[in-house]
Amino acid sequence: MRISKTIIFSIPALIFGGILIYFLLWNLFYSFTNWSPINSNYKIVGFATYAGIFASQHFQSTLTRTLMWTGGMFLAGNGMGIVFASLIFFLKNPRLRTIYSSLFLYPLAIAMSAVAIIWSWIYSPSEGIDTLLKYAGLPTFGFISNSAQALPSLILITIWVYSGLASVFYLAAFQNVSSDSIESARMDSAGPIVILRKILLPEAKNAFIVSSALLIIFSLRIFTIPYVSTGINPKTETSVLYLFNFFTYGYYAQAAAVSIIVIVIAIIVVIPYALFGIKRWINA
Amino acid sequence: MVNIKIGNVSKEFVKKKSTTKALEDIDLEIASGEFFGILGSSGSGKTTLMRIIAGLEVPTIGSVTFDDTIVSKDNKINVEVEDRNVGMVFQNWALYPHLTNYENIAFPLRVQRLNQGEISKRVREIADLLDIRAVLGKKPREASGGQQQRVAYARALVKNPSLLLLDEPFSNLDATIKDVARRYTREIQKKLGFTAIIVSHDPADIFSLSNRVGVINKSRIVQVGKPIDVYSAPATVEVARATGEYNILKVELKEEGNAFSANAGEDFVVPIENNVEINGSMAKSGILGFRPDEVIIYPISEKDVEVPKGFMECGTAEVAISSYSQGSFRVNLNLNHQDNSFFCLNNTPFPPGEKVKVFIKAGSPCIFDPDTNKIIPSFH
Amino acid sequence: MPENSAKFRNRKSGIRKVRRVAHHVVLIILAAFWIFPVYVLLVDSLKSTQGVLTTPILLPASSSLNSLISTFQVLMGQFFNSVVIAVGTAAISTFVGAMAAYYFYRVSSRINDVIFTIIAIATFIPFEVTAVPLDKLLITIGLFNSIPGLIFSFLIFFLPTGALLMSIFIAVLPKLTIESARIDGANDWTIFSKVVIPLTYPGLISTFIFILIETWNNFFIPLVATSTPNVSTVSLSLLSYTGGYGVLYNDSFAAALVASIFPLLIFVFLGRYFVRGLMAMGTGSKG
Ligand SMILES: Nc1ncnc2c1ncn2[C@@H]1O[C@H](COP(=O)(O)OP(=O)(O)OP(=O)(O)O)[C@@H](O)[C@H]1O
Ligand SMILES: [Mg+2]
Repeated sequence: MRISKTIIFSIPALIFGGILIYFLLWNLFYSFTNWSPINSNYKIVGFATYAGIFASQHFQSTLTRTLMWTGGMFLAGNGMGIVFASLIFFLKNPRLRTIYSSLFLYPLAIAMSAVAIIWSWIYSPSEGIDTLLKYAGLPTFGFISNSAQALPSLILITIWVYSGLASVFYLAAFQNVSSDSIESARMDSAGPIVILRKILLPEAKNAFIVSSALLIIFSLRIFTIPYVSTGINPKTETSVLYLFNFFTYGYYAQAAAVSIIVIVIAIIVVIPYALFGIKRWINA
Repeated sequence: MVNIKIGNVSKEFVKKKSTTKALEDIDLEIASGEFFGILGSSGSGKTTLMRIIAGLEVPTIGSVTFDDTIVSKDNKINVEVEDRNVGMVFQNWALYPHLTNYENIAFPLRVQRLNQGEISKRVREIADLLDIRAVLGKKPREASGGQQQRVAYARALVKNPSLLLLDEPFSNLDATIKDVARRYTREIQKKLGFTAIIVSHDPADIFSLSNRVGVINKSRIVQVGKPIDVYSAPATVEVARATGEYNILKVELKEEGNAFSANAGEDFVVPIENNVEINGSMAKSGILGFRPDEVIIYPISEKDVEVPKGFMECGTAEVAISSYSQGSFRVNLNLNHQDNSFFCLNNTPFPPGEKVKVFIKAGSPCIFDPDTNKIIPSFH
Repeated sequence: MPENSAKFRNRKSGIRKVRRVAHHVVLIILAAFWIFPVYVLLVDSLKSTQGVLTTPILLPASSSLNSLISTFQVLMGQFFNSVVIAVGTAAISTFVGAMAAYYFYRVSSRINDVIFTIIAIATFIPFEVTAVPLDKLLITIGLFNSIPGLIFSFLIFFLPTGALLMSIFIAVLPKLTIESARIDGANDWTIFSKVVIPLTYPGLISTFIFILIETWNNFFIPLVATSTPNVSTVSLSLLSYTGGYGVLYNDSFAAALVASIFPLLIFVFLGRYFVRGLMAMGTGSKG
């Protein structure tokens, strides 16, 4: 049958997709070994590697930071996304709408390493915001050189990067609301806040699901911002940096186990999202 | 020109938990060069049958044979669509929106890698035949509906298909263009001689075009025959309805001496001409069916009305409402003491409540079995 | 009475005016916050060394192109690598992804749906988890620390992404159009190249732009897949411009500008395609 010839079309993509799946399974296998610079002749050790990792204080603190990062992105990303989307939605001039939408979205188009460099300087105690505050005789923050503020300062950068992403989905949802219901609300002299709360937001449930899923997934994979701005640093190290560190020093079993933990967290987020979106993916 | 045999074809669509039987036990033979019509109501399986013949679907059971080649059989396709040399015109024409009309028509020839000169010659030939030369340089959406439809025809015909499949080809056209389209469809088929199958739920398409017609109801073929025979002697109530407008009345069947009649209440008795012996097992109740254009009515107030020639007097009825449709008035009538009603066509409207005398064309009514909706043949 | 209602209208329109002004003021303030890093980027990458020594980064000073030019000369090789890798990855991912999408569109079966969904889910998993196996695989097949190796590594992530995005864009093609082409005698390759590709053009561009920007900006994969600067990408090369606050910051900013200018210009001129790619990935809509 012709179908058997058509299948050729999918083979390259299936090979690369297959490698991706192979990578995930690779991690699964080696997470049950004890492969490290000391044991280059690794053997299967069951859950021992996992047990060691979960028991480690270091891992727990990186995981806490990852979760804080994820939570911060989830809250602030959705919040700013809604603020941007509603401010833009109530603009009448379509050109202004486009300009502002792009303005809030462009950080996504800049290389993360460049973002990290720009913000490190903005946060610099000798050249950045703090310098101006010092000139003005105001108290300074310290930002990434202050151990308590380092993590929130970095989270702030990623919020700057990703809020526009959320606003795209909220704006699209608002624009899908029938203009009839908005106009009839206007005639009842409802103000923009009422329209937003009573008409627009209830219709933006899908935008919330999509933005939340993407914000969480993207925050799990944040690597470049902390790595470039602060290096492998005990105050800002997240789980993926921890994993990378294991990789760098050849602790492959540990790296694989942390990978599996990260994969499990990602899958917990992606699966409901995929179920929500699965119809579109497979055109069913 | 190809002879098509459809042998006991059934088609099931399995979707998650539900199974749809789209076709059951279809057995048909369409002769080479024949113009065959398929009539049926929405969802009866017409499109599915066409797609199976084209090769876009496989029959779950049964076979499709083109001349002597089995092209598909029992869930397996032996000859793919690409190699069946069929042309097809879809309901919405499915033109390629990014190509000009010229390129749309040329597409099947380009696929065959004909040279530029040959392609241009054949596209222009078919465009002349269908009178669409003027729109060849335009995109499909820049042409009128009727022109797009002819571009779709041209694309289907340009490769000289041995079989042309038309799935509701006229349903998106204005009434006035429809007749033009039917005419050139007929002319081209006569000229080029390919076998053609047309699917429609509009009997006018079938009557104007086809040599034979098959009526599908609920996934089964119920009747095959010449259009006029199917029209005047429908095998079931559904066939009668599929082939045109139709009235049915619940009646009691009576025998008095040699005369038979169908009674719908005391004042509505339809004589039945019968030339077949009827035995004692005759049904007591039945369904009387007749076409609205075979009915004449007069106001009861009019005295000394003669029975029109070839008609029979059937009784009286009361006008429920008259409405206007396509050049004549559609008069809805109620019968006394019964929840029976029917309609007929008349040149003038009647006021509601007026009593009328009803005449029905002699020999035209049919009697159907009330349980199966099948015709009781001895009564025709 | 008439006077009264006139006053009422006046008050209403007064509120409206205040509200309109406030609306714009809030937007402008937020926009200023969002544009601020680009202001810093432009001002400081164009600052003269004299200016660097006398002003903090937030204040403008005398400008010169020196630092930008010298930094670009240093990073030219990496810039060129990035162009080759990003364009190559985006082109292959889009085209081959479209082919796969065509297959999944054309032949729907339960198994295909499952395979496709698994791969789609996998593309959302953080790349970092593939560090070790990717490194091992590249070394095994001899592609470690090479441009082809980098393209290969990117394809592992972005080819499935391309298939995912393209299958969303292809889904809006009417099935009848493809069936017509089959009836016209076209084989799969002809249908794909003559019908599917031209009809999904905007989707192809969106997918291409989306993957182009994502590949250009990616930092982690070159970090794992390369070890020497000659095959490095420009976004990875920025790592050497961090070294603490001792360096002259105009060089740092110049490097950041060199690394950002390509995707930034694409965003400015073709941003709507990027947004469409994002929308498709997020919600499966083609808008
Ligand atoms: N691909 C399919 N998957 C599932 N069910 C289908 C499919 N195609 C058709 N059916 C079902 O098969 C039955 C017959 O459909 P078909 O399209 O052949 O009817 P039709 O006679 O052409 O109707 P219409 O006049 O409305 O076009 C319907 O119940 C339809 O829902
Ligand atoms: Mg149909």
